[in-house]
Amino acid sequence: MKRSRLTDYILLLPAFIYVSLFLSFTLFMMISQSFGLFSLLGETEGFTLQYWKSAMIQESFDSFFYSMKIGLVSSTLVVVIAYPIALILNQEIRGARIVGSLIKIPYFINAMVAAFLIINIIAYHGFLNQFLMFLGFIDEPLRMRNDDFGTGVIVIQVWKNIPFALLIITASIAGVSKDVIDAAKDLRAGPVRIFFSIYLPLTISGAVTAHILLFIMIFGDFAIYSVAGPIYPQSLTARMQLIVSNFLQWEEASVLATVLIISVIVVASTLTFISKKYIGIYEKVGYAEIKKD
Amino acid sequence: MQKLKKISIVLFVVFCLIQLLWIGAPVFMAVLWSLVDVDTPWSYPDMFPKKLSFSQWSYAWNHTNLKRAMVTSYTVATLTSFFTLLISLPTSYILGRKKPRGKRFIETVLLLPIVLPGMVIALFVGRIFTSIGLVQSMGGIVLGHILLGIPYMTRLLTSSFESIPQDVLDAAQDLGTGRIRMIFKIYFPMIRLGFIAGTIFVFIKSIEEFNLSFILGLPTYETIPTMLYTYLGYNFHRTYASIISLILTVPNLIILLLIEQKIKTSLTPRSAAGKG
Repeated sequence: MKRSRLTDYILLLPAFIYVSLFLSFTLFMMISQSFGLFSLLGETEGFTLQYWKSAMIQESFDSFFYSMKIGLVSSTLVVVIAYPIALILNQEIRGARIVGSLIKIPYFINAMVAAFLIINIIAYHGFLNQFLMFLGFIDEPLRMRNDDFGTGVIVIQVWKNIPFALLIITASIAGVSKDVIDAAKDLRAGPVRIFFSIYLPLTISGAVTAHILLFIMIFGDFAIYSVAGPIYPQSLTARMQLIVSNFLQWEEASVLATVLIISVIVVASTLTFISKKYIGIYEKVGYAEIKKD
Repeated sequence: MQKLKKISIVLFVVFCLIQLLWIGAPVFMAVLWSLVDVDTPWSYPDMFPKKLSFSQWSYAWNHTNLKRAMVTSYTVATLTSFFTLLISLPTSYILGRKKPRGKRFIETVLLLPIVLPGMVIALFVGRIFTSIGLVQSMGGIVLGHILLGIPYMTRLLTSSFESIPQDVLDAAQDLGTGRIRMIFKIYFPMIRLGFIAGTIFVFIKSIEEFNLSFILGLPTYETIPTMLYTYLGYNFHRTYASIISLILTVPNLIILLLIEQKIKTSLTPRSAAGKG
């Protein structure tokens, strides 16, 4: 018995060791280099905070806030759009399956290709601008690609990421037991009530999971920024890449990378915390209404 | 209730139309751009190109790095999916059948490569590889791609292993089936779908991977996505970009839509459905 346990653990190792070695090395390098330690190529000069100081310049802050803004705005938009779609697709309507497949297409499209597909539409003389001018809504084309706010990037992120959000949210909506809904209907709960007292509390954690994962992906985006983003500020990862490839300042890049990972963790835990709080509230509302009845 | 049903059907139809435009228009534009004739440019204020031909396709095929990039991409992807499968099989077997202690923790760690920002991983993996001489080499690119393949592969294989009913295994064991026979007669046929789906999925993810190939491969090894990057960035060329986009996307899309059902059932994070 004991021997087979041991074999089990040995068999468990390959993929686990591969991933954990790679990631721990990478993260270790990242953090230690930001303090001037373990420089693999240049000279190591010992623990110092100098790189944290020199990385904290206006450009870095601008990049940070740009990425944060795009990340929060796009991920929120995606969830807000995907949630009702998931509810619609959950209804048993003929054709829902086909539309379900169609809607998944952007998930299988490479981020850069997605960016390219969309900039063809929203470019200065692109399809959308010409169409809007043809209809007479605008007099001159709107600048949506490489604009200062990042509209183009947000549009692309939304286009690309809706299927991913759907995948998670649909799963959590499908997990709501049909019996519960039927019971609520028998007790003459209206659709609004069913939504707020059953669907929302039961599926909000799925939606929040989607929100967090989306935020992480969008916050660390490089490809879409580089195709459609504003010229300045750059996204955090694009700035990192630039610092490394043009100036070989690995230490500053490590600082930015560390900041990136930390902010991902902070935002993820904040969102989880908020959602936990709200789930509590919805449950209370639900119970109160049940008691009232 | 009847009224609600009607409203939802109307909503559904509107939604379908929007969906068609939302997905169809961008793809249509890319196809159109790739077919613009060399001699008759398509520019403002024409709504549509004046003449369509395949001339740009043949030019891109014959006179750019496209062929070489495709060979690199497909070689890397083949090697990646093979080795990812090899590494993931034992781990997924234990995760799916034996329910070891700390299963959730291990599964979370295995997911991390696709959760952490790709460019951060790519840059620092590149840094480490530079110091051990693995940068600018096929081996380095494949090693990096395996890291990103493992999350998908282990997830798909684990759920396949989980779905084998214990009764079947017990029955076979009671009848005195040997180990090797068990593997070929029971395990393999039953995880076949996950096996195929995992391999294809990792293959496609590897072909689409940009960050790692960009940091580890350029300028020696150009893959399809890094080539697209040059045509979208400092070498902006809309027609070539369209051609490369289509070459990169269309085969993958067809394959993925075919195996989509299988992937959907096992790639959906189970934790997402219930707990946060």
